Amino acid sequence: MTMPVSSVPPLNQIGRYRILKELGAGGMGRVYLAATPSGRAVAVKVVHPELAGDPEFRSRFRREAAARAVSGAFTAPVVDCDPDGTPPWLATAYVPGPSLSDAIRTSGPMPEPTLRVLGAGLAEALTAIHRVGLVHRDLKPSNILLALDGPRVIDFGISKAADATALTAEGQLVGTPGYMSPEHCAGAELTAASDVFSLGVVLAYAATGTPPFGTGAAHAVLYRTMHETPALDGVPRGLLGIVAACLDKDPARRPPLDTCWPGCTRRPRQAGSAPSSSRSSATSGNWRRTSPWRAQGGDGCCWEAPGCWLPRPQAERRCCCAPRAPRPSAARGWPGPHSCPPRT
Amino acid sequence: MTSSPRPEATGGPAPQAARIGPYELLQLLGEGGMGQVYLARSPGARLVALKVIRPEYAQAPHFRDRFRREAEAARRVSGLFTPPVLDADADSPLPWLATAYVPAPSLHEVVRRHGPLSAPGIAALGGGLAEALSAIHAAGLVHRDLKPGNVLLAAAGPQVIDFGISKMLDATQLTGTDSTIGTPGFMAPEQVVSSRDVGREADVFALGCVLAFAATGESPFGTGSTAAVLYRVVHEQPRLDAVPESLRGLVTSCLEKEPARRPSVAGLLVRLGSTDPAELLTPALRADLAERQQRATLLPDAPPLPATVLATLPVTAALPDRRRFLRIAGAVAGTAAAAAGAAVWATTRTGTVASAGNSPAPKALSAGSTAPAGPSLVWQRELPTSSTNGRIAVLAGTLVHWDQSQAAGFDAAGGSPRWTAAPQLPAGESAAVTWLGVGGGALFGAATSDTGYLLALDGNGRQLFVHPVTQADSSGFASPVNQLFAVGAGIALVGVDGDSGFQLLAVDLTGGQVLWTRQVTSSMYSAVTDGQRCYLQDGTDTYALDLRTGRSSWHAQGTGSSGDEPGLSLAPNILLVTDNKVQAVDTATGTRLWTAVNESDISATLTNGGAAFVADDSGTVFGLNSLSGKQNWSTVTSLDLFVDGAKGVSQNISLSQDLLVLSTGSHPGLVALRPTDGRLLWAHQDTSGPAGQPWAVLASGALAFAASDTTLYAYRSPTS
Repeated sequence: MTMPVSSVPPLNQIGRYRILKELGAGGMGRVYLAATPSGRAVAVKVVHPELAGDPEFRSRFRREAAARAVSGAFTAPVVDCDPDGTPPWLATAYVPGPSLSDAIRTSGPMPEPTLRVLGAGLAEALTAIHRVGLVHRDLKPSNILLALDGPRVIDFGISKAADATALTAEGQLVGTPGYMSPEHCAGAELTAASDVFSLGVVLAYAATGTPPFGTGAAHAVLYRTMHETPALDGVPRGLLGIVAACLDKDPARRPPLDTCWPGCTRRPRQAGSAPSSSRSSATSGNWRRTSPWRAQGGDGCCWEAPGCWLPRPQAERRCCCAPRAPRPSAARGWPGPHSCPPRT
Repeated sequence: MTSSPRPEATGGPAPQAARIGPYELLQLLGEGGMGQVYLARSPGARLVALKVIRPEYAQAPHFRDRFRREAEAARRVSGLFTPPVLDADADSPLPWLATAYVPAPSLHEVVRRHGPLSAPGIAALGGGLAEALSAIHAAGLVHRDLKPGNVLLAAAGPQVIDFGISKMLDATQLTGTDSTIGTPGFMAPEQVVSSRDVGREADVFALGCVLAFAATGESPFGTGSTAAVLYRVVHEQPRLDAVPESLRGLVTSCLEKEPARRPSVAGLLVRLGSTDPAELLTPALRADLAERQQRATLLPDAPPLPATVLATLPVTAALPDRRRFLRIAGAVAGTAAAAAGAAVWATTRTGTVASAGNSPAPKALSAGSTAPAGPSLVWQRELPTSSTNGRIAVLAGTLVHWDQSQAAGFDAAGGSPRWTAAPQLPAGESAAVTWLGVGGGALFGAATSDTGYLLALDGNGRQLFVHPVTQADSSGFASPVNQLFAVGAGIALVGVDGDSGFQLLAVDLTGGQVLWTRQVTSSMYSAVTDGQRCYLQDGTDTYALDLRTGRSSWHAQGTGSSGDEPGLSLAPNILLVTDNKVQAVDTATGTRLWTAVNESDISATLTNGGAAFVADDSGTVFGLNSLSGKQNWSTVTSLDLFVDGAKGVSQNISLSQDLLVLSTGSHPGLVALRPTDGRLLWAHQDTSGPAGQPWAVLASGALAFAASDTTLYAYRSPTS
């Protein structure tokens, strides 16, 4: 979508926030990294002045502000807004970390243990969103930020109160083909189970690198979403069940979020472990993650510590330990379960 | 060996994790008058600080309403200035509040450890706190307990915690001595006089005290008894000479006795102007934050506290006076530094001896942390023939290596071969010898034909004796001795697997006579002796038998789990039964004392006097106090420790005075911790080839020995 060239001079102040740099631009507006007077980082979303008069965008902003009710642990919390300003703007805490779409694009599909962490974290985030009565309606990889402490769901612009009865005036389909649930494609009412469908799509994409209903022309993708089985080759066996269940065409058959991540099987014993012991593993009732992996953050943000599941930046992919055959299960760019001295 | 079918587990999975709401408790972070704060894990693997209120406070009138209102208010405030609230439950018998865990030190810790802040740093702190107060007040709250311990210096900016939930309790209702109405030295005069008349100005006063603390390391009203400090707050002028000139005026105005004369928060922000967070995030603080963040990434995998912890919650248990957060920090700090920066290097598989002291310099994790040195290889020796499930022990300066069918001795200091076992059976007998294990300074073996023999070699390979202990039965064969459990007071406890079932035998080693036998009911059994009694774990029950006579002295039921092979170890007056948990039993009476580490896959528990050590298969190692069962330390390694059951059949854990050594699973190697505090000293793994069998490991003083299927290794470890 081409934007008219703006004749407004570049911003360096919005409200009491000092603009530092532009983070990105989209159809609705621009997002800037800004600082409070004491230097805290915020992300300020500013609506394109040309669109500011459109009531649709103002109502989207109001919906974003309504997301304040969701705990900031699961989103980028809204800290300030001026929906009636000229132009309208909204400030959230700046969450350092790549979006899931950027992470998959640069580092490839996620290995199973990382997927489990992602799934559990997203399930928890969606639970918090639904608990305040919202349905996100646009869960997709570009709306998920991988923060150090867990995934954050952002961009509530088209979220909707679950009990709202008014339909959008324009009647158009608002959502992202490939991530919209079948009922969304059909124009039916959305429920929390619709977000569960999107979660299934997100996980399948994160596991394989390709969306399960394919890409291409929107109407073809919508058709496949509504009528065809998703392509799930490449999804790890241990997660196939839950992902497929999330992608059920019937919303009533999708698993509720609190049972989305039941105890997974224990980490299988290493091949070649001593056979002399006659122990059997205990029951698999507990969900256990494998050891976190090391990655180096360090793109100049003030946080410098490695994260357990962030992909390695390009410059540090090569392992500095003795070269060895690549492990087949480790996807490219994602660190393997192996202690590696960090770069100083 | 086991023929009985395992019983189905009833009642759910074996480990009972301490859980409050949906959160699993991992560590106790702190405790105060109102309750405890735990580090806990959410179902989404997020770390939270879980504040749990004592039931006696919860019972105070209208407490729950106030708690609910304050939790809601804290939810509104969170954004940039306070950790977000995830959830709260005011109606639970133990009311709780979960906020996101922020891996950052408090201002108190930073000043104590690194000294006072610079003037620009104090200004940056002031700006950050003033903005925080602005948001707090805008949400309709007054903090009431702003102090250095409640200010976290996080990378994203100063975070204010602990909103004094329900500190609106009337002071007369408090029974604890902890001052929950504020902290002397940071309380405004009007707050000292009456806890009811506390408005936003009190927070400004506290802010002034905090800035003075940042400059001097103590409250501007000094230290001493609570009464003395409170008197000074109300009646005397603050001591501000050490506060930098550029800030003194501002701090003085915050500390006006009269609330109306203090600046407003908005006014403070204007006076401070634009401040630079980089002045607050000094290199030392950045390093600290990086280390804490790294630890925090390991914590979601930590095993939860056992549910028994919850049973002690309502009682003000006399917890040892330790700064638990820092101790946890200390324990895992070694981990973070060591696991990431340890001298991991590949050993060649061709068997050439690597020269000792040739280790590459390990990289420092970050400025300010000490990089640990790795072990140095003292010697390495190929075994004459490859071995399976070999084990090692040191006897009289000789490293003895044995597996089921062969045994040999090597000089422990240099590795040169000294002897190969050549056991002699009585004339006419020609059965193969099966090596059982080491006890009482000797290596025991058994050979069975129509007589079952027990024999032993000393550290020089010399045979000490061969005793017949079982006789042929109707089948014409004798039951073989197939386990050596323990040796004490010249008596060996051995296991015999016969047609009539399993038997425990006590053999007098001097004369060779079998003193007593006992039929055992379960195939999962084990025995140990302290020289006086034999302790037998038979399935789920423990028996204490006189060592010489076998007469039962006490019997404790339900000490073990029926599905797991038990391991037994002894501490002074305490027997530890390890299967899917560690259970302590008084050796004199059989009374159960404590249970710990309630997980499914744990190693044998090793003891050294008052300390006990055990590892689980998630890479966590625990140091327990044998008397109380409390954790002295737990170290979360990020390494794949090889844990193969509590019976210790695979020699995967070993203890000396200086070292606790564990074997790794995915790539063969070993890991050494310091037993006193769990500090991870080094990790050494052979990454040059595909995954192989885990090594048998042995700690001997500051030496660590290891045996793979083909090679023996001897390492000298640094012990600090």
